[in-house]
Amino acid sequence: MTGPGVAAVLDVRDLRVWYATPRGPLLAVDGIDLSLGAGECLGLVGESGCGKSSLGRAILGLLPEGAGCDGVLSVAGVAVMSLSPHERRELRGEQVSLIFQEPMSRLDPLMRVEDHFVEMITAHRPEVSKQEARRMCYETLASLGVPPRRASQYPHEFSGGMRQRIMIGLGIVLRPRLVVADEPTTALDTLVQAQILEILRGLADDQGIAVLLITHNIGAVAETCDRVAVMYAAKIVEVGSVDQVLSRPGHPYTQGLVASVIHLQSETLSSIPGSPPDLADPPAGCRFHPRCPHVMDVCRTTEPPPVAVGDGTVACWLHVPVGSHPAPHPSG
Amino acid sequence: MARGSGGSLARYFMARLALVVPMLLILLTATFLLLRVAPGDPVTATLGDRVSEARADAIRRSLGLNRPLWRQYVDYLGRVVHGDFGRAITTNRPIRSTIAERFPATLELTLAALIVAVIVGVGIGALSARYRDTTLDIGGRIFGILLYAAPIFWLGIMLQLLFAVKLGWFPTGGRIAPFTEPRSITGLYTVDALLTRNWGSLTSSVRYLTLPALTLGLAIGGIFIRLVRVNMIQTLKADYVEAARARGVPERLVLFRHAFRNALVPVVTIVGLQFALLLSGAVLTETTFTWPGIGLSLFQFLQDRDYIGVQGLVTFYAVFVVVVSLLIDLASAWVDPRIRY
Amino acid sequence: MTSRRRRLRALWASAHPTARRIIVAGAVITLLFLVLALAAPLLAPYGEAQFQGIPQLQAPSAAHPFGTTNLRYDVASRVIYGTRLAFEVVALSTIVAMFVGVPLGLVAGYSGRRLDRLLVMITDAMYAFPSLLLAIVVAFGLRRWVGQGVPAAALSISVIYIPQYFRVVRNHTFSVREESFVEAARALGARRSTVIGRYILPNVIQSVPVIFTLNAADAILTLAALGFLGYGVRVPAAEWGYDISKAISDAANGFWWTALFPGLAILGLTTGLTLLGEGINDLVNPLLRRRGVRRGVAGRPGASGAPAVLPGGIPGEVPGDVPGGEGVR
Repeated sequence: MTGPGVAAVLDVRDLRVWYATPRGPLLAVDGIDLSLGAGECLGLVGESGCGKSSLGRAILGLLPEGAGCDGVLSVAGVAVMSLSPHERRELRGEQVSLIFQEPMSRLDPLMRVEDHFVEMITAHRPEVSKQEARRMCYETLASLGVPPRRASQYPHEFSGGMRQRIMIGLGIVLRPRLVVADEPTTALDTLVQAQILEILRGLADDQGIAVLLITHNIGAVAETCDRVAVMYAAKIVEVGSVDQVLSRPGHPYTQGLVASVIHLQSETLSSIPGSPPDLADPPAGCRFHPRCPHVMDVCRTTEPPPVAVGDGTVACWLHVPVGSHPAPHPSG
Repeated sequence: MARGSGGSLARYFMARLALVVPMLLILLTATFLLLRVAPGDPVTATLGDRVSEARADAIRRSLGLNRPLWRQYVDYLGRVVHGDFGRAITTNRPIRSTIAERFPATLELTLAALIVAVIVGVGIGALSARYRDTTLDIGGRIFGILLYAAPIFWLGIMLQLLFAVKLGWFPTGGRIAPFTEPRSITGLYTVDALLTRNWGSLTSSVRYLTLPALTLGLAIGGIFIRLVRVNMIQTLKADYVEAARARGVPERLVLFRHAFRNALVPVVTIVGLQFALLLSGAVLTETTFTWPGIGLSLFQFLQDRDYIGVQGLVTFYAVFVVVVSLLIDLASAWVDPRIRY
Repeated sequence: MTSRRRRLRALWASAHPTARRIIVAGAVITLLFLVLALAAPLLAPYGEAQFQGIPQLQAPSAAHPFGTTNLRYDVASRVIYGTRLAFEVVALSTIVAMFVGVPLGLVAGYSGRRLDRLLVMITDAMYAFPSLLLAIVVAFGLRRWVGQGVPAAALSISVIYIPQYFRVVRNHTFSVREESFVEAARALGARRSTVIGRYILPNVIQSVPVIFTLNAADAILTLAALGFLGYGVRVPAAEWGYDISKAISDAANGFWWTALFPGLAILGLTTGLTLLGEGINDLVNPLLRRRGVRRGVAGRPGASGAPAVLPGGIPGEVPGDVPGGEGVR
């Protein structure tokens, strides 16, 4: 599922991410494809626990101990899987950055803000002097609306929104090709949320950075992204332009998600009955089938293949012509 | 560029200072009451029938024990403010002089023990945290628990048995070989010997200091291991540590600059809290090694049932503890800018 | 009660194997000593203070596996009877500390303001003071009143731990007090004693077992130290610390068995209790849990990372300082 003919900054194919548990490996990401080009903003939506955050960390090579991934993962043309830990570390911050969810706790309380920048810059570019690093810090902070004269202050002296801007600043000061933002606004006030999203959009528009916005907030995606991928139970069920997916959703899950967004004009609340499956023991066939209002026999036994629909793809038997449905057989 | 929040350290100091008075009052009152509420009077309890009734009466009057209790209390507080901790019944010397004489020895022992404890505790604790749940970690933790569980005086005796009696490398007790004391500058023999380049004195004082310092240091170090380990583990899991890794900061820097430094912040407070432990431990260590510090004096007063002596020393301990807590709190605030608010 | 049992079982099931091993080891050791204490008269080869028919200062032999002392006591018997005393005093002191500290903590945490401030200041002062010295002062002062013996020793030791129970329960009460179910109970007109007893206490009581075990370990050391200084139980009761104090002169002359074995006993029992306490703590304390994988959710690592100040190494259930079971020899 690729975007319209743009060189891919992020290329993911058949990626699987697993965690070792006492009961055996748990697949948080089960064979997904994604790609993202320069200046594009892709939203990745899904409920909590669907594996989105694992994907974000896998891209950065930040999986905790006991977790692993395989598949094709290429960032800025570099095949991440074949890199040594040292080389992976060099990528981080310089080619790809991760913006975290809780800005309140993501900065070292004992270090001044500017020292965070200096540390990072000199770690990646030892030839840069401290003075020059500080100048880069002030420049980046200014571009994000943080007064440079405050750079000598400590993190606890800033509000949540400011800290998130600082985090974004750290994420872009070395001009990476890709920025992954993992729920960057969830911990912030609505007003501040809008500001941060605007900043992220600006990264894509003005600086040509590829932005992967991971969130459960469809509204944020609608505002900020060009394309959106919908994730459910460790799989991507639908991808396409924001316009198509949100106004003409192809997958029943997406339809349910979109319908559940509350508008000022909403008269009733709608939600999807049931709850997301346990990733340690997902349902057979299409993983959404227990909650799907349009479930058919084949859905219960066989996983649907992704099918081209409009400018994207949908993985749902409803979009496969009936004649091509396979004889029901249990899927992997 | 405006520098950060230095001024509020002074404000914190004032606020913290205000807490000193009530705390001191509570401790002093408790000390006074505990030692006075028992039936009978201190003089009889101490001297019993070793002394004639007339003499006992005279002593009682000189100590002001015939006055009403509240009056004695006020006198006691008044004297403490002037640094007068009373006059011991058994030695008939002002406790202040005893303290002046013996405190440097306790200080020397305590500092040396602290150095040992920090090296052992921080070294093993940090390694344990870094290699969590490996054999190294488990070994370190068990070692720490054993050190904590072993009574200080027993540890001292075992070390004496092995290194002093069996191997003869160190003496079993005392502070320095007779007549080798260095010229007094700080009162700490090792430091003074170093300052006056008196090598004979230095060797002797180090020899005598080793076993007691090791004993007290290892005992406290055992607790440090646990504390440092837990703090490091929590710090290593911290969000800002993960964020630093996500920025591509080298692991070495992540460990030392972010994790270790943050873990060390409470260590200042931990040392402060364990400092009380050091004082208690010093009493036991000095008794075991006949180290002439105030701990040994306290032991002697206890043996002799010298109420005024015990009261005077305990009062001194109370004042000392309060002052040092204040200093430790200030040090913590200086290290961690968040505390100042 | 059964839901609590289920929760405990679930906790055990999800525990890291290391934590389990620690708890089991601690429990086994402690039980061993408990058996010794209970069956002392049966197991000890000689009487507690028996000196007839016993040779003086003899090295360990078949007849006297731990040797004999200068006063013709059989060391092995003294060690075994010492177990009994240790359990008596420690049990009494930790129970007293609990029954004083917990109610005070509840009252302070719930009623708040001035009473709370006063109690906090007093217990803070007590906590800051070297605990052994505190116990010594109390024992010294009590001596003329109640003389020596188990109650006096237990009381002196209990004073050390009251602030800890107080602190933990108070902090915990503070946070539980703000919970909505408490507010709801009050809105429905529940009496204060009902609110405290039925709603707050059950929540707060969870932190007590860990502290209890670790305090017990510390109490053994405190008792031994008091005995060493001559302020323990009345002579000639078999008390480990006291026996070691008598062994100092033996050691100077190279006789090692009179000091070694009582010390090993202290070491052993304290270790057992500490392992038990630490193991329970590892199990129950969320701050220390291994980055686990919870079902259906890709585990989110890390918390706010504020290092907890951990005197005595007991990170409380409640963040914010929790005094630990330290402070003494």
